[in-house]
Amino acid sequence: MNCGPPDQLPPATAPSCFLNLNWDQSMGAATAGGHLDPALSSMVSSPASNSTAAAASDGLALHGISPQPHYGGTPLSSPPKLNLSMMGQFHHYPPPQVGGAGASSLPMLDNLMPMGHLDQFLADPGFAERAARLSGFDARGGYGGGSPAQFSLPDAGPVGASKEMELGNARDESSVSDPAPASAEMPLKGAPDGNARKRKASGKGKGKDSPMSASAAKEDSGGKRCKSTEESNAAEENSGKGKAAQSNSEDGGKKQGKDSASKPLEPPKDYIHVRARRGEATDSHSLAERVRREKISQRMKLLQDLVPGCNKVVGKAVMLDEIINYVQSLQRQVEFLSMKLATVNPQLDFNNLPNLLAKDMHQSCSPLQSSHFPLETSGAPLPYISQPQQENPLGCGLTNGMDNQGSMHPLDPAFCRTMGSHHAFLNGVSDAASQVGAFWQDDLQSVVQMDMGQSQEIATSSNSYNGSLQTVHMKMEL
Amino acid sequence: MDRKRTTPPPPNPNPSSPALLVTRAAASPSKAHMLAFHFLRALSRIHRVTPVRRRTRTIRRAAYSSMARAAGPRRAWSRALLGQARSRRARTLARRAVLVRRRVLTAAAPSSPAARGGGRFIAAGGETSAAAASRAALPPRQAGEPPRADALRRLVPGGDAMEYCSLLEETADYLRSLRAQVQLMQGLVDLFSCQ
Repeated sequence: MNCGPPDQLPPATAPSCFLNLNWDQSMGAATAGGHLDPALSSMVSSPASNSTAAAASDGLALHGISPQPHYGGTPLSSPPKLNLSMMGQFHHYPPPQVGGAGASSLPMLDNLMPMGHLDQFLADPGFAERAARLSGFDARGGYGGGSPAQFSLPDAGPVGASKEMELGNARDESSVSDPAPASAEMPLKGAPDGNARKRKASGKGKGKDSPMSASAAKEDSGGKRCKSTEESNAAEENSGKGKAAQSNSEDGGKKQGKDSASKPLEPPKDYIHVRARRGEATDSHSLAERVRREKISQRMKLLQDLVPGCNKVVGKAVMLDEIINYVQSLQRQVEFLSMKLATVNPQLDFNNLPNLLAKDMHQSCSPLQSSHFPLETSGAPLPYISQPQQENPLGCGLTNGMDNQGSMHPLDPAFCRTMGSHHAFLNGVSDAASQVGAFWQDDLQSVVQMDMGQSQEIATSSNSYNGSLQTVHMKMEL
Repeated sequence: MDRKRTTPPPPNPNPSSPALLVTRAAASPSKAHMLAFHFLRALSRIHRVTPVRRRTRTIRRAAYSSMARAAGPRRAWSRALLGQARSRRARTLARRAVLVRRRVLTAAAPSSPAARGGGRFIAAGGETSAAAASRAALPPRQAGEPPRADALRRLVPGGDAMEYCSLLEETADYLRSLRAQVQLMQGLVDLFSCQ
């Protein structure tokens, strides 16, 4: 039986999402031997079973676990001792050094509970027997009262069998409870108080986990899962009884492990906090319906910002009409504009570009054109570039000019270089139509960008740009 | 059309320039750049190869598919548009292949049964596509969904299969792209008309 080395994981990312790391750490802190791992894991797994046994009369395991009266007032810190404290708590051994973490171990079990994991335990007939054996093991081990070195003791026959059998469970549970410590600051629950509270806890855990640690948690839990399957195989060889129960619980654990590993991967903005107000239904259907309605209204608000003239409209039906009208008008506009574009003679376009360039440069030199300047002048010098690699400084210069006005000067060498290829362009206009189109793309990129930019920036930058264009024009005239 | 298929699309002459632009710009300007890139490439190709009478339709389709390409495959509407374009292309290719075969066969033997089989194939193809379009029923309307939602569904590409909540989300995204496309085309028309 191999035990994972306790210091496998970097401790920086660990406390946020790994309960099993905490478990390893606590083990390392309590005792030095790696062979203690199975013993501890069986103890960790025992609280669940024990509490279920205690809660068998209640029918809901949650009731059995949450209200532990002698841990009500404990502080909420010290997560590294989490599982030790769990053991202490659920075996009713209150060791003073681990009692502090009792509260923080509770949310983990809360996360476990609603998924019906322990219900499988409840339905399991061989489970009470196991629990009884485990309690015997606990009594024999005699851990608790501040002497963690005794953990190394137990290796008796039946206890060993049950221990190994439980090991897979323990692993699974530790991987299940990955997102739990993020919600560890949640106050101790006196009693289970409804769905909303539970959702809140899980949501907190979801929101807090960074994606990196979430992926780490996923692969870690995957590794643990593999290990646990190995170990459960060994357990099945060792002890024939409780086999079905083992596989049952293992399946549940696996499923939950997958769930809890995939949950933190969702972006936190997907989570919508829903809380049942007074008098509202708390069953899952109503909650889901409320989430849906909230999403719809959120998207309506988004659309309201997009559609012009939709701000004044009250009422969802009218707003939807507005949206439909707007979409229709845009589609009609696309049709109309494509008709207009189709009527343009392309040969004229691409051949006339040099003339267009000269005209536009003359226009752009007048200061009146500063608002229309990007559309015309930025389109003008580009057809002179017939070598693709010379586009680079120009594109940079354009965006630079957008951002800060001082960087217009690098444009001049670019233009000087493009002037050299002027005649080559003029000769090969007709077959370079595709290239022209590709260059025009950059014109229009700059057009789009310029439209988004502030008019002041354009006005100020157009002065220097006009100057550079004038120099280009003069060079062209030479 | 034939030249369009035989000649490969002109490669991006300057692959690093859009990257430079993208690094400076926010998300939506980069999308606008991609939109302009795709649309202008398609436009220059259309102006080269498509006859004038079919140009309006082709440019409109190019506008929509360049929108979809710029939006990427992550959106449902863009996926629907690209799927439409792909199926249209496949249909035209099949039709042209059938026409060519029929022409060859009629040249060889005027009353060959294969020619009639080809004609039947066209009819059958049109019939099945129409039947599939009519069979694609709208999803049952959920509670709280206004009756006008179906009109919106018909407008947004791929909206037939969408649930109301995601329909609104896709509509928002589609609207943004459509507006950018209209701005781009308007700018092009202005540029052309100012000469």
